[in-house]
Amino acid sequence: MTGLRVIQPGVHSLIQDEGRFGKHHIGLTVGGPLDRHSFRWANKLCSNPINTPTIEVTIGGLVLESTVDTYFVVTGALVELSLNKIPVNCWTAHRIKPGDRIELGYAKVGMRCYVGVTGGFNVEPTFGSCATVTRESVGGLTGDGRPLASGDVIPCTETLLHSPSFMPNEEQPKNLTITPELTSLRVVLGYQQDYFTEQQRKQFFHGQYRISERNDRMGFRLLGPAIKPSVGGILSEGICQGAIQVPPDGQPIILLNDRQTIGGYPKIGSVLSLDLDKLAQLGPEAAVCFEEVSIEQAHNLKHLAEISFQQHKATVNLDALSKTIENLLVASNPRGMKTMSSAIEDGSYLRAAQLIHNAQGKILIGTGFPVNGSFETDGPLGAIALYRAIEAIGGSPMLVCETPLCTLLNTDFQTLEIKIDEDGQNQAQKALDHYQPALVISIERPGLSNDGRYYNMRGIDISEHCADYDSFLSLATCPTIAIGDGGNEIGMGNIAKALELLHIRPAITGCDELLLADISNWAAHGLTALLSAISGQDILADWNNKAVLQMLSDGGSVDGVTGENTLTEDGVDSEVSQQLVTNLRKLSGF
Amino acid sequence: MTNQAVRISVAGENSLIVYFSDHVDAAVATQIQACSSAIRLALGSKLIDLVASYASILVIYDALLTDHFAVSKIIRAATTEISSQCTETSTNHAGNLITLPVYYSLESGPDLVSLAEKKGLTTDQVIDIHQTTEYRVYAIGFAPGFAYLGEVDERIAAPRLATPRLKVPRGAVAIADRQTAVYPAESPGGWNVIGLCPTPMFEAKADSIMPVSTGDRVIFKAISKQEFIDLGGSLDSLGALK
Repeated sequence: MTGLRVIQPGVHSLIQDEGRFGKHHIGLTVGGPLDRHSFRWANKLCSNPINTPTIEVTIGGLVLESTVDTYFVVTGALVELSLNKIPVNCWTAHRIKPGDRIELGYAKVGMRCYVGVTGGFNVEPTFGSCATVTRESVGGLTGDGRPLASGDVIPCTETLLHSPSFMPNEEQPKNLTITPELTSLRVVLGYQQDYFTEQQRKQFFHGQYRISERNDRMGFRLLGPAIKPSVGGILSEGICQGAIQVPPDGQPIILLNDRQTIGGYPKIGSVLSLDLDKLAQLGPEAAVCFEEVSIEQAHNLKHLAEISFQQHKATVNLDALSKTIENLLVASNPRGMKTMSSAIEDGSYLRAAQLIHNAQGKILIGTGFPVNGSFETDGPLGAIALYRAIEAIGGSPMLVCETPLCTLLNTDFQTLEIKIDEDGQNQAQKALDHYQPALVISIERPGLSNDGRYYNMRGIDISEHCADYDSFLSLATCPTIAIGDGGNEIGMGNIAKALELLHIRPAITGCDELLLADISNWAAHGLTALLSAISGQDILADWNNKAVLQMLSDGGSVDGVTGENTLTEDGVDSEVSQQLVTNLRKLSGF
Repeated sequence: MTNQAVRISVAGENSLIVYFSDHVDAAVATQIQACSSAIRLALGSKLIDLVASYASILVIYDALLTDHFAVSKIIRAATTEISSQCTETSTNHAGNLITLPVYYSLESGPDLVSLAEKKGLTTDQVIDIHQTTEYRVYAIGFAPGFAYLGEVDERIAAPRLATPRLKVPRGAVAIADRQTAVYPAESPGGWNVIGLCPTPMFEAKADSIMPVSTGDRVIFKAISKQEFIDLGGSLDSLGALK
């Protein structure tokens, strides 16, 4: 079983999901995170559904060792967090591998942290929830309410499909950055409010209270001006979250997640759930005061907070996302690109996406790998994907290729035809002068080898079928991006040395940013994922791989590996590419 | 019971509490039982949870899906309908009748003697009186499976112990004021223990988690020590009671 092994449980660490609802009729309380806001953000930063189990760590001291490849995050109280003894940020998703050690220090501001993992902890629910309620011996890892202990393994599975995201410092809750001097808790009056005189209510709302030593997951007992209701006890009745009960000594108790479901002390009203999140982060001696709000205001505040939470997207860590995509796209490694990728500086996809995003003007996209009077499916499909992505972000793309591909594409796309029999440099210069492009891209175009000829992967000279697009890149005064998957494409000049390892006739034309992938079309989807993350637009949502392949196939395309007119790319079924797009979309944060 | 007596009050940002009466009453309990079902049905998925107690129902709703105006209206409709029905049906027929066996003895009921002395009765009289009343489950709370049963005959009603015990064993049958209960699990407690019940009151893994629900009726029936053991009872944890 893979998961996170507890090396040290810390002061008090409990598995918590949102809580156990609908079980009051058998006397079970709710449980769940005391600071729901931090809990929900832990799951958001892990791309999890909001009700996914996390670990609530009170005060700190938790040490975990991973036996799995995934991402984790820590939100909530300000603690020193380290990964393999190296300090890392809270409110940020970090990759962990088997053997990695996560250590939480002790809270400096606040009281409770939430540890989440991508995909969540797989804990068997008790009464519909894995929320740990120690007092009831219910929930948690073993179902019996036991807190985490050394040696426990909290199961979770390998999940690398995650957009590594974080919450910028300025957006983190203020009460967890600097200890607040005074925390105002908004209260809806209710229950036995009439048992408290006007004078007592004034005292309650104008007084200051301190959190006593008696504070736990059941409730926080406060110390301050005593308010005495006209009756000492009432018939036991249901207690809601945040209810403020006043025992005969007049010192209020705010009842929280692990409260008894019924009780017989008078209650003046209840604290808003939004403010309970702040209360949960206060320790003994902290000062609080109360502020009255109407039920209508409370309703409004709850809705506004919910909308703000729903709309507030986690900020994607673009550097990490780029690296994840770079690894993902060469993972199957049919032509050695995984090895070649080490010759390229990390972040190539992000740098290329930023070039596209920042381009102010025409973007030329050259593509088309000639095969026996036809063209490969690899290249044009990616060019179309890039074309659409550039359009989606408001850019101005143009496809550049020779016939017959150009004829096929010019009904639906802006195209520029390049000819085989024209002087390449002259043709390129004329086009560059005319369009003044802001960016020149090449995707799966044959590149000139050192003898001035074009070769396919089998080493066969295909020069007589190839127009010169190399000159577009070599003569361009704007930035250039090139994509390839074998070593004989435009752009590979950047890694000439590394390519000596492969048994091919490498291309020598270079570029500013070379992108590698197992199939060149995939690189276009990878770039689109980064463009989605940068622009905040869900660009990959509508991609239909099969439909584009069908269009190319109807125009006579062939698979570059099999030479057949099929709905495949380099021998790979369309479904595989579509699944990759789904995964990339998830990574882009959608 | 007239509908004017029903009062709806705000409890919290997503909770309303419905008060039916200011005292414990079997007829009120029947009405609460019926209203709870009606409110559950009417609110459907907008209901988060509901706590029926002696004289009130706490209704916790999803404040992102509805609001206190709409929920009040639903509660009003439910209580109006139920109160007109309740006048027609006899309250005695409500709820299931459950018999709980009890091993009453000086061994299993460490407070029997002091309670009897306080009330000027013999221990046998205390045991008899405890068995003669048909109790109603007024509320479940305090701990998982803890059912508050009422009302205890005035003649054996006694206040909580001055100093609560740190450990009351699972199955302890106890009295506090005019309430009686069976402790579902070992826990601290201040009620007067008069016997032990072998029936599990809360089993997380069983098909039927609890033998009783709010609104049910309960009678206690004395059993011998042997019957207690045969029914799965255990005297192991009694040491702590002494």
